[in-house]
Amino acid sequence: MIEVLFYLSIMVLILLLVVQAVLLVGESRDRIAGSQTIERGAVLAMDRLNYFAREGYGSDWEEGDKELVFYLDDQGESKVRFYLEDDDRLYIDYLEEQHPLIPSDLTVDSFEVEELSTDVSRAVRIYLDLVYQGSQEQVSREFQTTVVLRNSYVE
Amino acid sequence: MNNAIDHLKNSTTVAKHSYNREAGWLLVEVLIGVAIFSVVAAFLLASFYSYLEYGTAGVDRLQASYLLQEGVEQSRLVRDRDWELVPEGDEGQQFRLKEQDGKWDIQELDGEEEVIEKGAAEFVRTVWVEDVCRHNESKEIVSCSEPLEPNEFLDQDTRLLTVEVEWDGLWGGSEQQASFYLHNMFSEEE
Repeated sequence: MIEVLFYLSIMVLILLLVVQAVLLVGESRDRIAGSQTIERGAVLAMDRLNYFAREGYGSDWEEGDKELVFYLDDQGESKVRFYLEDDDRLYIDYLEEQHPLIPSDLTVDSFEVEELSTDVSRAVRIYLDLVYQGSQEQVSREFQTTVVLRNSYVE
Repeated sequence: MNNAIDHLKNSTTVAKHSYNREAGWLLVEVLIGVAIFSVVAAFLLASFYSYLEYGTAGVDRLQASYLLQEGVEQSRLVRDRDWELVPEGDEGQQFRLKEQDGKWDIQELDGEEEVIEKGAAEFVRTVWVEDVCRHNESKEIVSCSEPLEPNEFLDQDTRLLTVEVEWDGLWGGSEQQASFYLHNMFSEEE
């Protein structure tokens, strides 16, 4: 009887380990897929934001509309616009064309901009939080950077 | 008759011994089996954990690289505010970027690190400042001698800054560094 209990407990232990491993694999698959999708999306969005910030002569941030504009000449005629569509999709509006900036399986949890200035230069501080919704687990990452608008020195 | 009974007794004793010996062997086999299973399971779990770490490490590096870039750009903003705010070189002295009323400063660390929390991840950003020396005639940057050679001078309008971002990454701590010269381009002497 003791032997039966002993073997039974070992069997139960092994079964529990196997179930735990299966659950872990499912969650981890989401974590890896989420991290890699976020990485791709962040590179797309942040690098584009960085590029146009460096090119910018000035910027304009609309807190209410979550809309960031960089002026690409000193007259303010040429510009690029980054904005949220449906509250969670980041879009770019450049040369009269609008494109999503992040893959369709990602959403934006937060898009905030802080405008900084000195007597001789301007800069923007950008916060972008991205979310990936997996089948079992949600993955989110927060990015932030600051870029000095190189052409703002011209003024 | 007695012989037959003795024979029966003896054979029962042998069967009992044989049963006990078999039970003992079975237990040893099970224990060996469990031990092998544990070793294999531990190895598989460790491999899987590594795979998980590798799969998610890229996004940590990306977060760190944008924070590193931010450190470089904020140092520029400090220079743009006032060159006097960029500390003089001090080997071994660690500095940090600090925001006060929307303005950035480079301050001595004094035990209070700049910790940036981004969700579950935590990044520590540190700045080092070094003096820059130049050759008297060619104006090329040379390493500063102690004391300065007669053909060298300390460039008061240039500093060498190094920004470092550290975080808990793959197999312990990870870090990224960027070194760059910061020049007082608004100096009235130019």
